[in-house]
Amino acid sequence: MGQVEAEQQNTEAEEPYTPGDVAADFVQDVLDAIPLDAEVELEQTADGAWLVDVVGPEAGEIIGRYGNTLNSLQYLASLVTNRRSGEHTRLVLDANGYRERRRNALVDQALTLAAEVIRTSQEAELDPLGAFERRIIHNALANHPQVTTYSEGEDPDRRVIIAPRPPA
Amino acid sequence: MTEVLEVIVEALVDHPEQVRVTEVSRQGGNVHLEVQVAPGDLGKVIGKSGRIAHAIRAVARVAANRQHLRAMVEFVS
Repeated sequence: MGQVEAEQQNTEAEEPYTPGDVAADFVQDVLDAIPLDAEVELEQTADGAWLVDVVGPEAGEIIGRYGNTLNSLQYLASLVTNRRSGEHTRLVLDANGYRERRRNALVDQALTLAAEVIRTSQEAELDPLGAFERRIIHNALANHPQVTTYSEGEDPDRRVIIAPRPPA
Repeated sequence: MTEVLEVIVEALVDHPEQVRVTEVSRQGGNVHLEVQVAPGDLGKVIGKSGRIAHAIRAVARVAANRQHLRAMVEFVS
């Protein structure tokens, strides 16, 4: 065995092909096929989820309206990854920091609406959101002393309701 | 545009070698694309209440938009 081959085998042994790699390779193949001038970066978060970040001059093209295209590609990447790895993989796809910006916007919206609920003592509802984004709202208000949240309706029209918290 | 459909669909099905993506027609800015898969694979590209098909169309739309086209994607087996 030549030295190069031996080193390649070594590298493979040290860095196994993870579910994250499956996801990252799939997303890169899709970007190249569109084609978009963008690259994927892969990292694993502390809680074990894989984060595939799309960066580059045309990365924004994959976000779509309200992140619709990004969510669609994330869903497809999850299907492909779970199928190839045979296990359930938690996967988050992001592009140019969109998720962080969207998260901040959703938290702002939740807090603004919570203030309205307190002022009027009336329930209020948000626009329909996907499960991932509904969870951002629930988490943002989970420890709020004056309001509580629940979801109502069926996807894709399922929405979060913010209600006054009954006095303890 | 056919390429992005091939990449996605081949990754989802059991029989990628049987995937055929063809441009059926093109009129003005509208393109009609047909994705053919093995009979047992149709559910893998359509999904419950068409959820997978919806996601595939959303991504294909990015490729179509870049060519200023509107794509109509149909799945058959």
